[in-house]
Amino acid sequence: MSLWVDKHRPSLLHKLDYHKQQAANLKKLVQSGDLPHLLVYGPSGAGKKTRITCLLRELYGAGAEKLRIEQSQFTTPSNKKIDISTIASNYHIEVNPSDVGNNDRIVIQELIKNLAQVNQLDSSSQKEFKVVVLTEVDRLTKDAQHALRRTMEKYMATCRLILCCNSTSKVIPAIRSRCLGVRIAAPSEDEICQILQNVCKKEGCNLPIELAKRIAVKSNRNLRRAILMCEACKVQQYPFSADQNISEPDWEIYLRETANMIVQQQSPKRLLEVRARLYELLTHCIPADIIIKGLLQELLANCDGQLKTEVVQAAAYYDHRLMIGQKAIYHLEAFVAKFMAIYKQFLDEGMAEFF
Amino acid sequence: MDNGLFEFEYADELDALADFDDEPTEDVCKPKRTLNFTTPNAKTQYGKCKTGDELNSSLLLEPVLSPEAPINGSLLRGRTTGDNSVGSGEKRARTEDDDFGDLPSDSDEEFTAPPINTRSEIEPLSKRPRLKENSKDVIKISPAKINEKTTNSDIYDEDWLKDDWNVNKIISKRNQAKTSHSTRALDEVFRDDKARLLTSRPCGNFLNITGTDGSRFYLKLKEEEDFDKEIIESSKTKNISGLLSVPWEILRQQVEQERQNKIIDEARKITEAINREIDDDLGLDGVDKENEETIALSEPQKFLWVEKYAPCRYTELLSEEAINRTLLHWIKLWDFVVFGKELPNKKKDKKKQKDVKKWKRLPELTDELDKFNRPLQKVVLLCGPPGLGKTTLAQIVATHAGYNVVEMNASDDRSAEVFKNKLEAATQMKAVLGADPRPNCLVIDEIDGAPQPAINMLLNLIRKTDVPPPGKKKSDGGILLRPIICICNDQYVTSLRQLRQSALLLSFPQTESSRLASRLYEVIRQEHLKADMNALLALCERTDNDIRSCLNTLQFVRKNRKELTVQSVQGMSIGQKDAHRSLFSTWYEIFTMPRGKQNRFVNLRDLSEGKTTKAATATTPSVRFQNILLVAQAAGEYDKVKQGLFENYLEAKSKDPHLVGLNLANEWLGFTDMIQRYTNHSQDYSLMKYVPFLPVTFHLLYASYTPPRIQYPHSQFEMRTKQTKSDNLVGSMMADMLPTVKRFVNTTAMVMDVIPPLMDIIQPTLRPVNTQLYSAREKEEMANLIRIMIAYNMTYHQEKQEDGQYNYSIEPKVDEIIKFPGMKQHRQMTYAAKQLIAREIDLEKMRRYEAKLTPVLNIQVEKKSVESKTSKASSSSSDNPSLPNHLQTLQAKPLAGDKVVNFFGHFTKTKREVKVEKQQEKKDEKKSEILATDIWFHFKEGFSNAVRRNVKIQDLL
Repeated sequence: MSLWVDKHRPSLLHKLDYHKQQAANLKKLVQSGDLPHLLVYGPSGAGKKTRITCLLRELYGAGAEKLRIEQSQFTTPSNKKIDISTIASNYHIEVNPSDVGNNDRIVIQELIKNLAQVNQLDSSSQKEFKVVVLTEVDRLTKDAQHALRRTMEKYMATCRLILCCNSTSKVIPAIRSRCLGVRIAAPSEDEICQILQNVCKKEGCNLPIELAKRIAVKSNRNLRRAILMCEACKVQQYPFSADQNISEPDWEIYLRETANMIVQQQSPKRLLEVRARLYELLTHCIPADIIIKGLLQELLANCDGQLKTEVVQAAAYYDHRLMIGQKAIYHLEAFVAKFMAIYKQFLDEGMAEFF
Repeated sequence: MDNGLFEFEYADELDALADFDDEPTEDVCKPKRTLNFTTPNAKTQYGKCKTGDELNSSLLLEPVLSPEAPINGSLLRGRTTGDNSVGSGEKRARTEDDDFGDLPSDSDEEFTAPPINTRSEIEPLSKRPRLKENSKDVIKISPAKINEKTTNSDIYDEDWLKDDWNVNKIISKRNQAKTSHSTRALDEVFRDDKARLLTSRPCGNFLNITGTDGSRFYLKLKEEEDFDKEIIESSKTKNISGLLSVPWEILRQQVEQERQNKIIDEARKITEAINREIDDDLGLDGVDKENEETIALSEPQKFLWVEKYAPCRYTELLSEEAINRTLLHWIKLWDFVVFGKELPNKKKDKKKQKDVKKWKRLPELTDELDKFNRPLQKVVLLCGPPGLGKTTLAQIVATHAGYNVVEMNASDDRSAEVFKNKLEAATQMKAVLGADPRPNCLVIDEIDGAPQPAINMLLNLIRKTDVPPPGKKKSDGGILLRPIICICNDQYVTSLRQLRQSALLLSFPQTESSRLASRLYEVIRQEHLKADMNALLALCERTDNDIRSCLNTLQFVRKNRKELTVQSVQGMSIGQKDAHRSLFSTWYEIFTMPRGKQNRFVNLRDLSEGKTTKAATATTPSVRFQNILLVAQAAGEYDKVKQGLFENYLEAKSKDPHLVGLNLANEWLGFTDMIQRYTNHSQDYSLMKYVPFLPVTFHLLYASYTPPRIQYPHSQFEMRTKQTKSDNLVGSMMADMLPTVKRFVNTTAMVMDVIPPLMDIIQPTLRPVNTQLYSAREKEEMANLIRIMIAYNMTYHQEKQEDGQYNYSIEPKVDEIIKFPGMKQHRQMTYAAKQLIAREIDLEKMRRYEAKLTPVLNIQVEKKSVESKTSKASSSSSDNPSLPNHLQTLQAKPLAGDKVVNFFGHFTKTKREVKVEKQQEKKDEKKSEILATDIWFHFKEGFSNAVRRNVKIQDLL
């Protein structure tokens, strides 16, 4: 609302700050009157949701911005009650089915059926379809995704789906082929700088370009983070100085320290310490794939060029195992152990050559 | 041939009577003798003593003794053909005796021909009407006839003896009579007639009979109707197919079989005796196989060997001496309470000291008694794996100490109520009527399966320390005054946790293999099973020294074979059990390198490859592999085992300079994790079998002679709980966020991107002064802060800390989620600032709530003002066409008159005005008017709350 992120979020397609061509295309799509199912994908903080809301606004007008939170209840075949909260306007409904874990299939089936079985009364003045926005589709179970594919075709007359996810690799091809893919790439650092400065101008403060660049780099091309960081900087110290401290999230620092520990020493004992830190990260709700990615980035910085491919390959291998395994800790530790072995061997060889 | 047959048939009797027979008259003629034996003594005399008196008396007895008759008949039958050649007088006489019984039934001519001339007394009978059936006549006549016959036996001897024709004829008739059933009926009547031969004169019809010696008898006559009835009855009840109830062929077979058995028995006894001698002499070799086979087949097994060879005396116990003695000592400590015996004090103490030194492992048993003179530990808990003789020990010791054992086991109902009743019955009461006046000792077997309430009941009883006051109702019974022995397999069962603390814990060690094997050797010698000591030792090892299992196995082997070899022990699938081990022992086993102990009974693979000669030790990799695989499979709970390995393997010592093993171990962990996921997800357990190989890998990688101290794995559990807590925190925060904010974030983004900077943003530096003194910019900042916190569903909440101070913390406590140990502390706002913010948030929330409750009203007010303006401008009071009809509400007409400002600065109506209106308007209108005003006054006589005013929260904010 009043965080800068929320306050300065564009709500119209033509006001979007980057990927303007794409925005224009979307606008044309909407103006044609109909809409295919959309699969919007892109990294976190790239503006997928913003773009979707702009699209809805374009479709239905201001009415799509009157939101309410609804609690829906579904009953599984085994008579278990599932509650899920949805965000809805008169024209659309947003739901994150992965909130209910393994029962997401029921949610998808019931919710879409309920919505799609009701036709719009006055189809002359408004669109004849409603929109269902499903977020985090990549976290849906396979069952749910299969349940989705038939529903998508069956209720085409009365509803459109907008699926939102970070990566399409975990969306089954059947769904991918039924949707128009919309890739929202992360904004470039320059774009982020520009946006930050615009925001600051609107807020009536002066952001030095150097600081904006630093924030853009730190944010990892995540616009949400960039704006939040910028605001945090403002709260901490205003007027801005170009070299002021940008506070980073604790978990990133922690992860970096963990990576450093791994590089410093390679032994089972150190692995034990690393394990404790991995546990700590996991308990703070940091997803395992983020951990492995973060570790990899930090570790690669300490690696010699010839090691990099090997380490990346190992990371990819264990990332995959992470996906098909059950308990993250085993695979994270396996990755760390693997890196330790690779790194140690490299060091030993280096020593041997040296002498 | 027939003679031989007889010999055969009566071999038993022959043997038995050989002892009694004093007479040296054992001649060649065996059938004779046979006859003598089978018929009563009277008959033996019959041939030998020719003196009239004796003869007569004996013969007279004959009908009376006739129960034997059917047997005789059968005997005679078997003999019929043979008899012809044997012409001895007594035989003939005997034959004719019987034949006479038979003859009349065949034909009247036969009957009448010879006897008629000698019989004068029977005349009345023969004159009876002959129209009736032959059989009936015979029956009627027979008693008399027999008497008559007996009287004339001498004559028979003389007149008929050499008359071959007659003999032949009789015999032929007899052969005919084989099929006739009348004889049977006749026999029946004979039996009945016992009572009819009287020495005194009876009432009713009778015949008087005079013997040759002049003695007189009276024969009572039956009525004809009675006879008829009897015959019908007898013909109904009896099997009329033959003389015997069982056909004689079958009888013969039976007898033959019996005889054969007897011979076999004898033969066996002899061979046994021989075998034993041979065994003793030559070890266990050289026994005739055929003999053994027959023995094995014929010997019936009625008892389990476990029961048959269970020790029945204290000295026979197999379990460790120390355990036995401790238990016995403990139970003896009860003597004072139970039997009132003084305990031998000093001497015993010393002895025990020595014991304690000897058996250090055992828990110390104090001789001390409590105030009721009971041992300090009222209960003994015997624990150990199955088949070590715990139950046996308990029973024997209790019996040895003079108790009556009351056993309670899992087969009984053990719900709390029943348990209590039984407990009381066993400990408080005593058998009054029974012949056994000994006090009870309760043995609770398999207590680890008993439900918790039942065990609590037992605990209460144990812990009860004082006798309830006499006045009180004695519902809960007295204190425990009898020993209780509890037996369990797993002492670490949750329900036993408390009991363990107050019980004397005796854990059973494994029985020594050698001791067990020597006992087994005794058993198999008694059971004639061949086995050498090695095989027995192998068996012991296979069964983990489980006595029961060993004995059962042996009995099983005995049933089919006669020899137990090492090979057969190896090949047996019996005796191998999934011994449930504790997780700790499993982990310990995995991390421990086995000592180089000779252990050649486990290596199955070597055996199958025929490498039996090569004695494999437990240290070879293949044996270790096999062992650990077995252990892992037996342990079950793969997930738990795996967690334990995961948490402990890094502590284990291993030479691994290049961390290759480490990677291998991790590879395996990941692999099994994937299997687990697959199994859980698809409910397909086919891959589950590969999981036990994980412990094997870890064993081969990390086993050492000094295993690490195993920690119970709980970090995963802790992690899960913590993670759930964090999830819930974020969830509760997200749940009530404004939808405009909520739609753009998800949990992950929240934790990773939003909350960390948010925590900085919501903690600006605020001037520590009153908000009233804030500048406009500061006020705006403050308002912004409040808005943010409400948008993200955060507030400050007062909490009392551990040190007793109050502090405001963020609610929900999402700051915990982003805080990591060892990171720099985030800036905290002052207490006052937090308090201020918390208050402002509450106020703002109230304002919004208010606004939400009356949105329509607000709109209305706005519209009204707009309307009034427009209406004023256009000076038209007509309805606004732009407003849809359903949104229009009826407006009260603006009241005329000046607005008076009251003390609070609000427009109000004066009383005067109200009065004026009162006069003008109607009554109900007036009332609503009054209520519509801000201030009104309502007078009630005797009670007044004075002036009232409606106040809304928004006026106060």
